[in-house]
Amino acid sequence: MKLKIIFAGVGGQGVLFATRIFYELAHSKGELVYGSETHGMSQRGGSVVSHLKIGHYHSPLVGKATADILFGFQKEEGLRNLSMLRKGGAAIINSPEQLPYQEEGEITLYILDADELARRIGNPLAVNLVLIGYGISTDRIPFSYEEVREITSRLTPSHLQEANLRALEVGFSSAGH
Amino acid sequence: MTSRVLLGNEAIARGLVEGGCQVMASYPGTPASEILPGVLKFREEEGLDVYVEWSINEKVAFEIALAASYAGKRAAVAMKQVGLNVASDPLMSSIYTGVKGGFVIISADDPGPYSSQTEQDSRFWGLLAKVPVLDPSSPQEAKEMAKYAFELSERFEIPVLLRPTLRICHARQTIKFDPPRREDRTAAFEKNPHRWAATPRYRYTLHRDLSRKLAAIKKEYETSRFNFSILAGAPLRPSSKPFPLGIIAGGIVYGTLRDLLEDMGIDAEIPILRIGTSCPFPEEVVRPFVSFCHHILVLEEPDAVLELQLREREKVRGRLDGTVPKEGELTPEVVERILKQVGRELGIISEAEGESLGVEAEIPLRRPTLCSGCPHRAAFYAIRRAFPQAIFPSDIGCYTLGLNLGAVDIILDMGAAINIASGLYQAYRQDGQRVPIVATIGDSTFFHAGIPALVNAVHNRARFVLVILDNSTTAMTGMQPTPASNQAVDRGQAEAVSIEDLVRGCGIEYLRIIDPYDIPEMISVVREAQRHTEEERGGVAVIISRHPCIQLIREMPVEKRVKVVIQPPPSSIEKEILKPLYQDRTPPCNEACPAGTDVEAFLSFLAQGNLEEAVQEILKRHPFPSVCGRVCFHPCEEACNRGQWDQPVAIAALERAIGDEGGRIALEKKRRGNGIQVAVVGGGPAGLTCAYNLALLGYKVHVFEAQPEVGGMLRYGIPPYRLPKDVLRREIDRIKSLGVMISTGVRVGMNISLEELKRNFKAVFLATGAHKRKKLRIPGEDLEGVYQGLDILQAINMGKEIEIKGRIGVIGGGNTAIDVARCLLRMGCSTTIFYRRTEEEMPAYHQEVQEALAEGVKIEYLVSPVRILEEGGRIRAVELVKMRRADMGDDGRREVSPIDGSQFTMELEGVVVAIGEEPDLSFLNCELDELKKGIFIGGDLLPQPRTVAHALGSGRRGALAIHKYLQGDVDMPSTQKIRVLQKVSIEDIDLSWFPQQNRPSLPRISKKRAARGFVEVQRGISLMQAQKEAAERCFHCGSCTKCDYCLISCPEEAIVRGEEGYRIDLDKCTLCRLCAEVCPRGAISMPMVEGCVGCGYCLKLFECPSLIMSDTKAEVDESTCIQCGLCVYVCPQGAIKENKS
Repeated sequence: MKLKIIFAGVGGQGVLFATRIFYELAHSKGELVYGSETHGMSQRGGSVVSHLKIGHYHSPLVGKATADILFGFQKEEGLRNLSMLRKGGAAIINSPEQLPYQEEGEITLYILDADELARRIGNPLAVNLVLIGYGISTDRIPFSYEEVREITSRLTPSHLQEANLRALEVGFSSAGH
Repeated sequence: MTSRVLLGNEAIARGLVEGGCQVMASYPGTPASEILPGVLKFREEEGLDVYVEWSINEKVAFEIALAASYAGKRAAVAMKQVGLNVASDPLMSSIYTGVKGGFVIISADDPGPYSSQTEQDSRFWGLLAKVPVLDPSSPQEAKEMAKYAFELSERFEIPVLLRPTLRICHARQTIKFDPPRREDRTAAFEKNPHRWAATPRYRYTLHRDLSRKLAAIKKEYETSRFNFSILAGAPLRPSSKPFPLGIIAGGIVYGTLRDLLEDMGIDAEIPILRIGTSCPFPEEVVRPFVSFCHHILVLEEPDAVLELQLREREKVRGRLDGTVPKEGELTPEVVERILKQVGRELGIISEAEGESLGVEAEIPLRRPTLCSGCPHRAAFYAIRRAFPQAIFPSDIGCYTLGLNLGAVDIILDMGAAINIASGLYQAYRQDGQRVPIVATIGDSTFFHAGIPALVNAVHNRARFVLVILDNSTTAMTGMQPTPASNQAVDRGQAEAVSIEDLVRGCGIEYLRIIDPYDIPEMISVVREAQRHTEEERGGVAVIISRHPCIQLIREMPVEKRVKVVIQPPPSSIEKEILKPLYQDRTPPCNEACPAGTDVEAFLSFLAQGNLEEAVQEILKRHPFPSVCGRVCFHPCEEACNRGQWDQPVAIAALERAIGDEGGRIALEKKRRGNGIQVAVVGGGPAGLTCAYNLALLGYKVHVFEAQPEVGGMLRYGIPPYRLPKDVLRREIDRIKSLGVMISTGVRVGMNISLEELKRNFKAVFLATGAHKRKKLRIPGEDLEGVYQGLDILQAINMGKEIEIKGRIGVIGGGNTAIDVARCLLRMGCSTTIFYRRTEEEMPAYHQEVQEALAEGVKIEYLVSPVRILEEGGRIRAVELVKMRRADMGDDGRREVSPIDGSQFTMELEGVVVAIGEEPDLSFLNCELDELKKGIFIGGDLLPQPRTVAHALGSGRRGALAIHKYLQGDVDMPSTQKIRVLQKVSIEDIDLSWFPQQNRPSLPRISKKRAARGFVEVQRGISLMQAQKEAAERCFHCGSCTKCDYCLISCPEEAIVRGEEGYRIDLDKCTLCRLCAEVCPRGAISMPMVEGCVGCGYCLKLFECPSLIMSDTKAEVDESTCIQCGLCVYVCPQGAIKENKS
């Protein structure tokens, strides 16, 4: 497998947790992973980006215009990183409205108001999981919902199990709405 | 072999454990933040014995670990690159001493930079300190190198530096695990003073040993597996055909290159030599590679360590010739650009090849902010509110982000805040300048390098405010405990070191500990601290701002949650209506003054040290500052807002000081005479004030006085120990100097008729006072030895001899009674006052009563005379009856009634009746309300309290009424300040500006001396004291003092200071209302709309990530708001409210 994913958001949104779901999943399937994360002060509400490469790579960074998938957990952060996508790549972005970049770049945009959905299920901090659930439902990611669900469950502390899995599910089943 | 996905730093930790690490010490920061916990994690997982500690700073950590190595154990220390700068001293020296057990230093560089202060290349330590350096290209390799480093270090007895870059530290990779090395060696330090305690001579020897070690290591490096060359993914084999371009790479760029060359399809054309052992430089590896390529490109981070060590420079391209940028990270994009440029130049890549595609969206990076609910935000907000103009040195930590709130100006390195503050203070002080300096430093950083800095500041007498932001953790680097914690990193017991004890131990006298969540209190304390720095014996003032990091507690405790709501904007936002207005309001002292003095105005001149203007201000109202300052009952002080804070401003004493010290100052030019003649009948305080004001207005005034001298009660009533007659005379002379004519010994109705005056003068002011003595109406009242109080006072004031001695009873409870009693005491009598009501109802001024008692006057309450008993036509005794309190009377005072059968007799030599006087209007042929036009009345003829101040007030009002009567509305005299009527209450005053401080004690002569004669009892305070009182203690309620605080606080710089005061630039004003909110004295009026005006103030200077701007209104982002409630205090328009529903 060869797959490059960018996770973009704002410190505090759980970008690192989202990244972790994918590398743990890939690892559990015997894939090599290599990636890069933002740590330190930016986690205090600043722009946070994770690069994740699954497969045999020598560098942790995804080059510009080479990513397969972009998760934008926040609208602006998603838009800023659109240039990371290769031709034919897919962006899964949390935004309350449609975005004006759809026609221009030979990329596919999947837009979901994950904030609203997360609020609706009373778990406003679970935007990351809602969007991941939605991303899985697009068929652009070579992992199944069940796999993602299982890893998420494994990585979630027991008191948050129900809430986190519900968020994932809400995102996954929001497709087509 | 197992594998796991690890962060680069965790991989290094794994490498240390696999290398047999026994001791590890670090100070938090990348890479230590994850390496040390990683070691701890593997220690637990593998059941190893590793001693782990968070040390106070990097130098300490270095030496802790080094000592273990000296004792033969394998030890490691990790730190950020700037941390190694801190530890460079032991680094440099330890290379000479060498080590025993393997000793590994891990320090990460930060190309970018992303999270630190410099883009320094720590591999240069390999050249400067001569430490062997290992430079990994991936987390996996970093792990291998860490393991190898122990072995290398131990073999050559030398410290080894493993230098990853941040990108490796924070990369995540599938890592293959090896089993840990279980070290069971015990500490065994072998003494060898020539080595471990080497003097310079032996250092030379050690240096020679070092050179030998390095030569051997270089040899080892030349066959190291960490140096290799590769082509198309396979080891490079010797070939006959040289390559046009070869790349020498170190660090993470090697991986970037591999992926990139593969993507670009040129990996078979460009060979790469990867150097993992930067120093000592493996020349024999490099030489054949270089000779095999026509051109060499060197790619390494962040500087040119390999490049500089290359001997054949002609064919080399890199940072030195500008091919590679000198700053920033070598990201895939940057490397691609370099490759394309060089490749095209050398003809390896065709011109058109590989243009990147991609959708560009120009969106600026989001800057980090302090978390919602962060206690630092509260502290910074308060600091800036307290002193927007201060210089704010700060330090390294989350709180660096205080710069977003405008409360951080300087950031240098760990612990610098305190030294920068000291240095700034000294630099300014040298020029005689003072500027507020408020430095901030985190708790962990204070421990790290703040303590020596604070000792230095104290020792060298610096003055500034230091706020230690104590959130009980090392937050930015990931919540490591500080030395103030009683928990060690591995949850074992640690000894908690108290920050406050340390601060006091540094010699700090001013220390306050406060929870910044109480923002108003925090503001107040910062101001108090600043005052300490300004005091004569002041110094550095330290505030410990203590509240746990919000990340530590994760969320607000339920009982402390405050749900906020932002009120919608008002229906219309009219700038003209809602704008701030500078308008002086009415202070309570002014409102209380019966004489109509603008108290605040003269205090304000006095505060500025402008005695001349202060005198003139009083003289605009009345001519008697010296008199009033002595005899007025000062209701102004009663009303003074300051009285609710500590003690009222000593207004009377200040007026007296102004009158006495400024007595010789000439009056401002009076208006040109208008020739209009006005008569004033009665030369008492009311008449004289009227005459004075009329004269100022240009009238020709003639005063008619029945007594031999003018002054009225001031002259003949008030005893000289309260009002020396020369003081009165001086102020009357000033009236005379205006050309006021005075005829004494003329009694209207006797020597001249009112009709005659009416004929000869355009207007007449009647102020004949109340002189008709009231009588007791009891038997014996006309006996010899029974006197009227006023008669006695008059005789004394005229210097007449009075034959009175022995036991004297004074009947009455007014000021006359007290005055007489005190006078008689001075004349050797034994005096008792009989008053029919209680002490509370006594009309005499409380202070006078107290003084009388102190001097020895006795007072009997609730007694009333029944009759006066005679013996030989002379008084022998007085019969009194006891009274009891009854119902409230019509006048609001409690009535009293006699107790039947309680009569008793007191033997006395004399009785003085002092129960009041009333006006004698016999000279009028009519009632007062039947007076003809042109005749005005004042003073005690009016139904008003019979006080000097009321008399003065009525005199001035009379003059203005006459002026208006004679000349209409035009030309009324203006006063200094135009005030709106709205009174200022204590709630309008920002008390944090005013430290509690007692008013000056008013000097008096001793009671003994006082009782001996008629010397003035009350003494004045000096002009200097008076000025200090006016400047420091007067709130100047509702009156702009041009303190500039609004101007420096305005977040939009919309306030302009002009000649005439402040002006608002409405184009800039956003109606945030901060100016009105911060005015210390309520001198700016601006309606509070209690709705969001969309000014953005909360976003700008509070900068909470949970407050967002939508269209024209601020909103709460519920998804991130943690309900700390801090913002409720912030909005000056009162739009952010607690949502209680």
